[in-house]
Amino acid sequence: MSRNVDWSKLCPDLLRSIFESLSSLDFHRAKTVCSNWYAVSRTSNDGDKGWRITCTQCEDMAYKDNKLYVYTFDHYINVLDFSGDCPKDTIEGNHYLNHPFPFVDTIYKMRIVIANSGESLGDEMLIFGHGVTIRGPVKDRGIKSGSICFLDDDHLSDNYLGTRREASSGVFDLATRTITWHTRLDDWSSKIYWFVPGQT
Amino acid sequence: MSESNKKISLISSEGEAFEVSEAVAREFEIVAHMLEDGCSGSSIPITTVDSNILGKVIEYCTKHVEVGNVEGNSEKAEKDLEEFDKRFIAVEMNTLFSLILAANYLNVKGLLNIGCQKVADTIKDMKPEEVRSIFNIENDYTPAEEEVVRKENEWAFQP
Repeated sequence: MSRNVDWSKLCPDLLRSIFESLSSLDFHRAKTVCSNWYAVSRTSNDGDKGWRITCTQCEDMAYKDNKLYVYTFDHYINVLDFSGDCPKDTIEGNHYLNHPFPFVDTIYKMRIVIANSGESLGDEMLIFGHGVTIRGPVKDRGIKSGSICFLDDDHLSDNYLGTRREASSGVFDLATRTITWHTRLDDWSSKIYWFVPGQT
Repeated sequence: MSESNKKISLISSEGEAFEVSEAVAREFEIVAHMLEDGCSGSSIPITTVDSNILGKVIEYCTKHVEVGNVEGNSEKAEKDLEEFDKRFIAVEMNTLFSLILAANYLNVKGLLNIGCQKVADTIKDMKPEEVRSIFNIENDYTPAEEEVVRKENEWAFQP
């Protein structure tokens, strides 16, 4: 057994099955080893392994702490973990896996937002259109804790009922589940259009 | 003589005979096919595999047949078998190479899988230079060619 075998000559089928169990990082490094390995890697049906994430069309996304949260057209939230060598579909630890989020009532747009304080909005206000949250309450700026701020075209009832024509934005209070409408002329609502995260 | 007690001789490339039970011999799919095709001989030549490697493959198959025959307490048995596989495949590179070739030729799927997995685990996190030295592979790229391939996969070399 003293002779040294030449691994570059391992038959393509075997090499291919070895390559296909490599992470994408190792796979791409292995190509550089020698021309034969490179040639075999080209025939591995998994050249872009790990990066081919199957996902239905996505409605919205949010990214935090190496995780990409994708709200799909079929109303589920997928969580992709970007902390490793290649993005991984998180199955364990995705609390939303079997929990669809269908459209409700008059809301026909969906946004996905990761609140700073866990499950609920807490003392933050969600700016629906921008998908950001802002810590509240801020007096005189209309930033109200535990509420969602949206514009009239995010909400169906306006378009259908033709009421509150003058209204341009609403605030949905999570605790009371009521909407307060504001007109564009309200002193705070004209200020809600531009928010730069982290600079409130 | 009942079928399960039937003995079969597997002959290595050096002509050495290894007597095994039919159940163990059937773990070699190539042998199982021969037996099904009506090959009635009690000795089967395995001309491409030497005694050292054939002995190891038989050891692997014997263990797996034994564990497969034990009923109940399957979780522990499975764990033991995993441990056995891990120890079994922890061999130096030349032996690993021969084992993979033999498993492929004899069509012993389990052994082939752990062999290939072992290679994949060895490659993991290694630079191409390290892979070449461990697997005794000559770098046959010209510097210019290597640069092109590296460029193509540049992201994989970022720290």
